[in-house]
Amino acid sequence: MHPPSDTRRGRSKGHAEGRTAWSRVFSSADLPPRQRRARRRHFLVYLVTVLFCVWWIRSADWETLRDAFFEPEIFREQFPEVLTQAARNTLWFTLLGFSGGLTLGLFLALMRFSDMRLYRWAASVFVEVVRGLPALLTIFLVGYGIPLAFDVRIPGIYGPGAFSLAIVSSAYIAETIRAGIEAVPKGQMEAARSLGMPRGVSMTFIVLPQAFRIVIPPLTNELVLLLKDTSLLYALGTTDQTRELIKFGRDEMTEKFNVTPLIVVGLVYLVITLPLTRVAAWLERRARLSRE
Amino acid sequence: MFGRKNLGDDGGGSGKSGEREKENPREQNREAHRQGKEDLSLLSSDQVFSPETSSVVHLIELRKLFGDLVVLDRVNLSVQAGEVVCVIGASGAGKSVLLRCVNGLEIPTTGSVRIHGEDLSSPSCDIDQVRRRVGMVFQQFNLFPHLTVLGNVAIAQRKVLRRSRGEAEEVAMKVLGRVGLAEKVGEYPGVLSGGQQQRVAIARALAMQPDIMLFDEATSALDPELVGEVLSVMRDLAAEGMTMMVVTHEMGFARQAADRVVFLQGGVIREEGPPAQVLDAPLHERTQQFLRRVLSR
Ligand SMILES: Nc1ncnc2c1ncn2[C@@H]1O[C@H](COP(=O)(O)OP(=O)(O)O)[C@@H](O)[C@H]1O
Ligand SMILES: [Mg+2]
Repeated sequence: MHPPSDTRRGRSKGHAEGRTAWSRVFSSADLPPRQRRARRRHFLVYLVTVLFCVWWIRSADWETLRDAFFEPEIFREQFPEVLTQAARNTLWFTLLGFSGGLTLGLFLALMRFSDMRLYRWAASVFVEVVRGLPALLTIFLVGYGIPLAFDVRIPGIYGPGAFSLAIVSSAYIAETIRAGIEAVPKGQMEAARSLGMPRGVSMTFIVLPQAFRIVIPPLTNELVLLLKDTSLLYALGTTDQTRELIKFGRDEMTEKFNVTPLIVVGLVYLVITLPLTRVAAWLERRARLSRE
Repeated sequence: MFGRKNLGDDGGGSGKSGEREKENPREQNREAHRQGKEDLSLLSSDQVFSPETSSVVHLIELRKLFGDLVVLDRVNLSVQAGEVVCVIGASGAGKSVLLRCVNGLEIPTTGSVRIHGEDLSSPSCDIDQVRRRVGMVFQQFNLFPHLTVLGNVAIAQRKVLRRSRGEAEEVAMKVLGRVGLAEKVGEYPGVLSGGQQQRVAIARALAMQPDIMLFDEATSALDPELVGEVLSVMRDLAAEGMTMMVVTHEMGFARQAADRVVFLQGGVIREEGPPAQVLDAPLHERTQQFLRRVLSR
């Protein structure tokens, strides 16, 4: 009954402990000796850390850093294009890619529960291959390979990019959904079947709604990962129309001979991703509470 | 409305029901239900049953193996319409597997399961069609947690019997009223007590107006003080003539409500007969041992 964990990369835990430990350092008098000793040890560790940070910050060449990374003039020049063009394109690629990935991923996940072996097999081969390849390579193969192989052009200015992102994410999404379906207790399907509901109906109305509730947090994480993977789309070549954030930042960096544009781009990414990961964490916590 | 006389099923919906219709007046009843004309009150009890079709469940030489493990061995059992059969036996005896064979959740290795004479293993048998007529109540309730109580009871009626939402909810309200949960319709299963959840599960099965109800240790997961309310619903059902197969460790219930008690041990029916005989004067030594163990608890 556990929710599927992130299928892609590990994620760091929050570090809320530091703050509370700090405030306790100064009121340890009424504590038992063992805890008091622990407090004192913590205090020493913090002291060393702070001293190290002070030394590190003082030894940095702030003048040069500021000139290279935060040139106010260049910073201002990034707007509004970084939002109206780059961020807009990034969001479009992400949304289109994710919708496609979700549809295809659901399809693949259901294929893995098919009673026809060929479908199960085909779906797992696809998922394993795509997950086993670097995203960049898949994007290359899909974006260039499919038009060449079938002599078709993927339509739309976002078409090729969104389609290759959909292929990449579908494999991870399929795994996430599959784990979600497996996390729904077997008794649910049995109860539905015992009422005379056919397999497909039971899946659609009983199992999938519960599975989706379980996988919404990991799917949100998947969305964030996809958002960052849009940076790989430079591999398919870009026009001014389809430049996403990273390509935009790199172009500007070359032009201005300064890293400031990348800082701007990084901040824009964070403005989008941080709320999303917060929402995912909140959903996860809520799901965990509702299970208890 | 629990009465088997209003067996509101859909008569199989295939050509077969047409054939049976001639010889069995109950089929006409079913036909009426299929057209949605069912009356939820008790129908007259003077229905005529011919002996062979009145056998709702007929198990013939049933064997079930999991790998090399023989779980059921040559089980022969038939349950007549209106009969309450209690299946008792130690844990691992094969009681659940036996019950699950009856509605096709397990497929027998050899032998056959017949519901109203229809062989579940025959290629022409539509298992979903059969399951509409066979209600099942599980030890762990298995309510649908994402649906309200009303939704739980209505969903299969809508998706399987194709009743409209209004109609399905009307039926749901009636059955829920019968299990004493009319005021809980809007709740989600998670907030209900175990006893209430199990009564919703019973209502959910009854809403399909089954010919037979299977209970697999329906009270085993409940706190002792909640067992009574569920047993009392089951007792009412039995009294109203529902055909039932009940796997239970509640010997009091078996003694009171059962027409027949079947003692299963190691996948074999060791003893069967009226409760007074099997429970109070068991012939078989295994039965005596089992009963001593259960009753001394
Ligand atoms: N799906 C399964 N796979 C393998 N063995 C099973 C399966 N289901 C039940 N069994 C075995 O069958 C035997 C009977 O199980 P069951 O019918 O659940 O017993 P009980 O009488 O306690 O309900 C047990 O030994 C159990 O381990
Ligand atoms: Mg059991």
